[in-house]
Amino acid sequence: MKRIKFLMMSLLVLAIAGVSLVFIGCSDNAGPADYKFAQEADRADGRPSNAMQPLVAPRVTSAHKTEPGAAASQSPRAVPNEQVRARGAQPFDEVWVIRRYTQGTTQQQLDAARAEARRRAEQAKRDGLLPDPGTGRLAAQLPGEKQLLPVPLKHTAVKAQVDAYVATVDVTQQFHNPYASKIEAVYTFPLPQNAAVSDFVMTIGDRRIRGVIREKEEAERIYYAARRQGYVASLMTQHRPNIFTQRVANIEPGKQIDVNVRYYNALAYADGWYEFVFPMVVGPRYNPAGSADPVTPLPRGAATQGRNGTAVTYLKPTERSGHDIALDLTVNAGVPIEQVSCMSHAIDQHFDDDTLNVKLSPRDRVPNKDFVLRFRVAGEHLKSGLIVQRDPRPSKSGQEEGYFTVMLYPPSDLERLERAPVEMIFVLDCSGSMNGVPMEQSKAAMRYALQNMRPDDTFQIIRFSNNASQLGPRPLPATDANLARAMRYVNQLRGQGGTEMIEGIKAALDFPHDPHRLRIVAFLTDGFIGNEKRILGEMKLRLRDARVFSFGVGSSPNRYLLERMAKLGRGTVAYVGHNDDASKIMAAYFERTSHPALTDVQLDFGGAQVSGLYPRRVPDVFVGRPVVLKGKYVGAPPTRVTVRGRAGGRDISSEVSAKPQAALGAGQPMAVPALGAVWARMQIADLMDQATYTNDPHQELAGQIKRIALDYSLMSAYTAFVAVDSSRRTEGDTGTTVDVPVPVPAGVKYETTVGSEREPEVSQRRPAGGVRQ
Amino acid sequence: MSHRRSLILTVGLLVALALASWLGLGVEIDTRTTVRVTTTKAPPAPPAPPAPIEPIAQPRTPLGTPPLIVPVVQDDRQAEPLRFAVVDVFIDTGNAPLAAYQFELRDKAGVVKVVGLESDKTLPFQNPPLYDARAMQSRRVVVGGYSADDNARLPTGKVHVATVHVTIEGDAEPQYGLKLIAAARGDGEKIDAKLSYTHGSAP
Repeated sequence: MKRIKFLMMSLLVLAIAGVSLVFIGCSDNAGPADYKFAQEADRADGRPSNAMQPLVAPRVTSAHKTEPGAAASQSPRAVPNEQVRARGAQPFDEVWVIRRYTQGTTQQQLDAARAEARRRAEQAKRDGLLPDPGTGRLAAQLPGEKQLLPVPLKHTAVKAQVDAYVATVDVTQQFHNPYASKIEAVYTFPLPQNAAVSDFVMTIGDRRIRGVIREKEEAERIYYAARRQGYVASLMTQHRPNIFTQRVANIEPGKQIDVNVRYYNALAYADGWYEFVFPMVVGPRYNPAGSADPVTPLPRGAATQGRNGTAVTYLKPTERSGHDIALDLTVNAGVPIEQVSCMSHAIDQHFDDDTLNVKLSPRDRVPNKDFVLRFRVAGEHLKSGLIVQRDPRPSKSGQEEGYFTVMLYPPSDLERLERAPVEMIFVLDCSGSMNGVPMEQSKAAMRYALQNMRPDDTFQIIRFSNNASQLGPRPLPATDANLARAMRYVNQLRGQGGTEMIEGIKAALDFPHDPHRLRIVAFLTDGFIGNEKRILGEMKLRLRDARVFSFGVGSSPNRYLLERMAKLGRGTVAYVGHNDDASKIMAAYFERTSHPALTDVQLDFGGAQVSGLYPRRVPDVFVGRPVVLKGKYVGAPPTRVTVRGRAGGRDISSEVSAKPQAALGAGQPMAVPALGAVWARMQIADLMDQATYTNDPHQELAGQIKRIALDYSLMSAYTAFVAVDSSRRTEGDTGTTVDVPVPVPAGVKYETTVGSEREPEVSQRRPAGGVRQ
Repeated sequence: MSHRRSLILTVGLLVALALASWLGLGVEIDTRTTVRVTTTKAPPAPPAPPAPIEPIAQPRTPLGTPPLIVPVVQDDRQAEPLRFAVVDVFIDTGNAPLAAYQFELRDKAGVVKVVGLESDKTLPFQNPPLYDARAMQSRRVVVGGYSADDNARLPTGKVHVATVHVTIEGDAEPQYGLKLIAAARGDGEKIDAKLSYTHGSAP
C-alpha cells in the first residue's frame, strides 16, 4: 500500500487522512527545562481528549522503515487532496494534513475542524486509505504559554564532498523559536569520531557571523555572559570525540538561527570498499556506578540542568520529533566508481561522468541511525599512495610547510600465506541496549564464526551485562562437540541489564593463555557506555600481546570506543548494521585473520624533512585493511616513501610514489587545509589517548592539545567554538532553556535503555490547557 | 560618645563625597556597598580615536551644585565582567574594485577578544571573513576576505568589509589599532587603499 507523507509546521496538530490520535506527555515542573510535550491530533470518535493522560498510543508508521524493494512492490494510491500534491509530496510518502490554529480560535471553529477531520477520516476509510496516519510530530509547551509547538531543532542539512578519500562535510542545524517568548535551544548530537571540526558560522536571517575557536572555559564564559546580557550567541562544545552539544541563546519568538559546522575526515577503507559515515543520533549510554563524566540518557522532558556530565533526552518509541535530516553527498574518487551500496538508508543516486551524487531519499529522513555509504572504485588491486598538500598559511619557519597522507596496502602475496593457529576469545555484549535486532545480528555473526573455526584453533565465549560469565574455564579446542556446545550457548543468550564492559574485558584478557598461540579477542558490542576512558585504561593495563578486533553492532554504535579498542589492540574494527549480512562481515574478518599481517612497519621518506607521523606506532597491515598514516613536512614535500616490514617470517619492502591531488590542493587563504586539519586532529587524538592511559597531573598533555587545537582552529575536549552577535541586544530575560529530545537509535529498545529512568511524577504534571479541550 | 563618632564619620564621608564630585572625580557606588573613586581624566590619546563615551548625567540641585549623593542604577553591563561591542571596518579603494583584503586588529589595552566576524551582507563576499587562528594566539587578529566575482560586480569606494564582534574585559576601554595588510583587485593587482573603522556597543 502506498502512502504519501507531507508535514507542515503547526500550533495544534490535526491529523486527517485516516484515524487520529492523542497522547500527551508532561515534564517535570522544576528547572529551566520546564516545558511540556504533547502530540495531538483529533480523535476520530469525536470524544474530547484528556489533557492529563495518554489516551491512544499511536502506531509507529512503517513509512520510514520500508525497504526500497518492498516499497516498490506496493500498489500506489491516489492522493485525495490536490493541494497536498501541489506542495511537492512524493509517491511513497505518508500524507499528513496539518491545520494551524491561532490563539483566538473559538470552540465553534475547533468543533467544525473536528467534524471535518472525522468526515475526512471516514472518507479515507471508504477510499481504502490507511487507517492510521503515523506517529506525527512532537510539540512542546513552555511554562505560562498555552500553545503546543514544535521543538526548536527543525532541520539538519548535510552537504558532503569526498575528494580521493578525504571528506569535507558542512552540517547546518536550523533552530527556530515557535514560542511567544525567548528560548535557548540545547541539542546534543554526534559527529564522526575522527572529524576535524574547523569552521563554525552562525546565521541570523541573512547575516552570517563566523564563530571563533577559544579555550573551552573562555568560550563558555563568553557565551553565558552574552546569554545573560541578551545577545544572540551560539556555543559548540565536545564531550567525547564523537559527542557534541550545540547551544543557541536568545532565539526570539518566530526567529530562526542556523548554525553551520564544517569538518574534514578521512574515509575508512576495508575489504575493497571506501566507507562514508554520518552519525545521526547519540545512542543511550549505560553509566556504571562512579562514572566521572557520564553521558546520561533521560526521558524527554526530564530536567537536565545541574547533572554531572552530559545528558541526552530521548523520545518514547511512539513519538517522533519534527526534526528531519537531508543529506547530499558528492564523491569524486579520482577514478571511476564501480559499485555503490547503502544498507542504512534509502537513497537516490546518479553519476555525472565519474562523479557520484547521492541524496537521502525523502522517505528516510528520520535521524535515528548512522548513514553509511560504501563505494568500490575501479581496479581490483589498489596500490599504496602518497598525497601531499601545502599549507597556504604563513609558516613559523619561513619555509614551505605542508601535510601528507600515506595509504599502505598490504602486499598481495600475503594472501598466499597461511596463519598459525590462534586462540580466539569472543566477547559478547548482552546488555539491555543489545536486546532485539542488535542481539540477533551479534548471534548471527557468532554462528558464522563458530562454523569457520579451524580444527587446530582454540576458542572461548564470554558474555557480559551486569556481570560476566563464560562458556568454560579455559580455551576449548575447536572440536565438533565443543562447537555444538558453543552454538547452544550462543543461541540462549539474551540482551538485558547494564553494560559492565569492564567485567567483559577483565574476563577476556585475564583468561588463562596458551603462550604458543596468538590471542585474538573479538568484541561484539554497540559500545553504549559512558565510561570509555576507564574501559580503554583497563584494556591497556591487561592487553599484553593480545590483538583486539572490535565489531560495532547496531544502527548507531559508539564508533569512538570501538575504533579506539581496535587501535589499542593493534586489530581492526568492523560494523554490523541492522541490514547488513552479519555472516559476510564475519567472513571478511576471518579472511583478514587468516593470513599473516605485515608487521614491524618502517617508513623511509628519503631526504624529505618529515615530522609528526600518526599513528605514532604504525599498526600491523592486514589483508584487506590498508593503514593510513599522516604527517607534516617542512621544505620540499616528500615524493617517494620506502616501506619495510616483516610478514610470514620474511622481510618485505616496497615503494610508494606521490600522486597529484588537485582537488585537495585548493585551500582558502588563511584557512587550515583539509589534510592539515585531519593531521592535527590525529595529533590531538594521539595526545588524548596518552591522557587516557597516563596521569597528567600538571595538565601538560591538556596544554599541548589546547595549543594544537587553537593553532589549527579545531574543536577538542579543551576548545570550543563560540559566536556572538554583539550588534544588538534582544529584549527581555534570558528565556527558557529547551532541550532537543532525540529518538533512540533504530532497533534499540527504549524500555531497556532509557526507560529505566524514572518518569516525571504525575503529581507534578500540569494540564496543557490552551486550545486543547 | 559612639553616636557622636558615628555622626562625625557620616558627615565626614558626605563632605568627602561632595568634595570629590566638586573636584571632578566620578563616584560609583555599587550594590555591594563598596565605594570606588576613579578619575574621569581622559587617558593618553591612543593612535585610533577612542570610543565615544556617553557622559554620565550629573543631576544638579536647584542651586546648580552637585548633590551630595548620586543614586546609581544597577546596570547589567557594568555588573558583568564582560561587555560586548562591535568594530566596523571600512576600506576605501577609490575607484578600484575590491576583490580581496586583509587587515590586522590589535588592542593595546589587552582587553578585547574577538567573538565573531561578519561581512556586510550587501557585498559579493559569500562567506564571512576568515581569521588566522595562529595570529589570534598572540593577541592580534588577522582578518581577510575575498570574492571570486568579476571586477564589474566588485565594490568600489568606501567599502564596509567587516564587522568584528568583540568582548571587552572589565571596565578598561580598548585601545584599538587597525592596519591594512593588503587590498587587491580581482586580477591580483594591489590597491592603494585606506582603512578606517568605527566602534561602539549595542544600546
